[in-house]
Amino acid sequence: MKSILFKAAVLCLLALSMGGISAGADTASSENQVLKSYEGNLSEKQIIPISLISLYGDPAFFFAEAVKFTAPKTGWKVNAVQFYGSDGYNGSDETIPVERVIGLEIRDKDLNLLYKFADSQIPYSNYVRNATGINPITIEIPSVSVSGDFYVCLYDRGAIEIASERLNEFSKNSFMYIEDGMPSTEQLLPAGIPVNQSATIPINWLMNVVGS
Amino acid sequence: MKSILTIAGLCCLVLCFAAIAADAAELTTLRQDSGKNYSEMNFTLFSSFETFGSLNVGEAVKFTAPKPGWKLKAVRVVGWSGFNETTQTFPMDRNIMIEVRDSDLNLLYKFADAQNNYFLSSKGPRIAEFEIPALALTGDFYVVFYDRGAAGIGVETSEGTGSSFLFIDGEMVPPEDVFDQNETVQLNWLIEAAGN
Repeated sequence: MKSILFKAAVLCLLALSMGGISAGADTASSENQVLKSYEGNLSEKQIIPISLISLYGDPAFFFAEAVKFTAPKTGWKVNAVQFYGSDGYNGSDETIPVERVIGLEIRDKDLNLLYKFADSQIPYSNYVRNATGINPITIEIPSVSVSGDFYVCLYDRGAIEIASERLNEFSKNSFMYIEDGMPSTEQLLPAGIPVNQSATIPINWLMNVVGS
Repeated sequence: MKSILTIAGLCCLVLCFAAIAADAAELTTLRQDSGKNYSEMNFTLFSSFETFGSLNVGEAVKFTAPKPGWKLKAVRVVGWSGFNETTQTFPMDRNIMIEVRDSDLNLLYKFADAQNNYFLSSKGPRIAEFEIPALALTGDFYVVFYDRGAAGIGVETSEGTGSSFLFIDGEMVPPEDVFDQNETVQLNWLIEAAGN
């Protein structure tokens, strides 16, 4: 029964995404809730697709698009993560994507690792659905219990361009996560597109979390 | 010029080792090799895939948790995915895999990913760290690395501690049973387990 409800929630989420999500669509079923990283309707947003590899080169294999969410209650269970992106397929044979591996992590408020998953981008992205452009990408995960603030980190590794929206000031919830061991004093940097040495355009990653 | 590059590479390696040592201050690191500093250790690279032609043979090391409920938080493997000096290119992404198993070989954790996210280096072997969601362990446990031909694992061929195995068809096989039945094989896979 729980599985049916979950699948219904994910399907509902997919349907909403395709048709444009309304700002208040926070409850996908009687049990599942959807946390969103953004406000407003996706269809009205000017979406900027970004791959961190294209911005920062090879070091970005160790950088992730990260969003901070707050669990609605203690011990809330994350069941799926959804973001929006494109593998570059535009309908032509030349753009059939090369298989690469993307990574997904869930971390607690102190950035301790709670869950980690890696897989080819192909089963999730638009090419396999013969779709083009930005599409919702949903990854189901085994229930991961979270309390308070937690982070979802996505390593695009150049396989997928991730949808973001431009902001006027830096988001308090969208970041670039730098893996431990990389030469950075901070593990979370504000999400942005560097324009030159001194200017960065603030952005917000478009992401949803489904849980109960 | 080449010697400058070599020195720079060595400095970088030393810095890498130093950085990892600093990180390790918060965690207890378990090793089952000679215990020498890697920069002073004589080791080579080994691939089960290239040796046995199988994707399902893993290099395994047996550890003992320092206390009941000890939490494993990272696995480190010394290895290398290679670099083509002529074309100045790295190899294509291929998957490697790690497993953690209890003393009865029950699977506790499993993770697969592309090797280049861990072993990418133009300067030779490096210590790849696989962060793991805290995994409570008691007594003996095994860490298994499947190189799958994507990244050779560092192996010491002397001062064997008897804690290194090949994981084949669900069994931990001592290396002497595989390589040479007439001699005791001195072999340590360079795998670390870190936790607290």
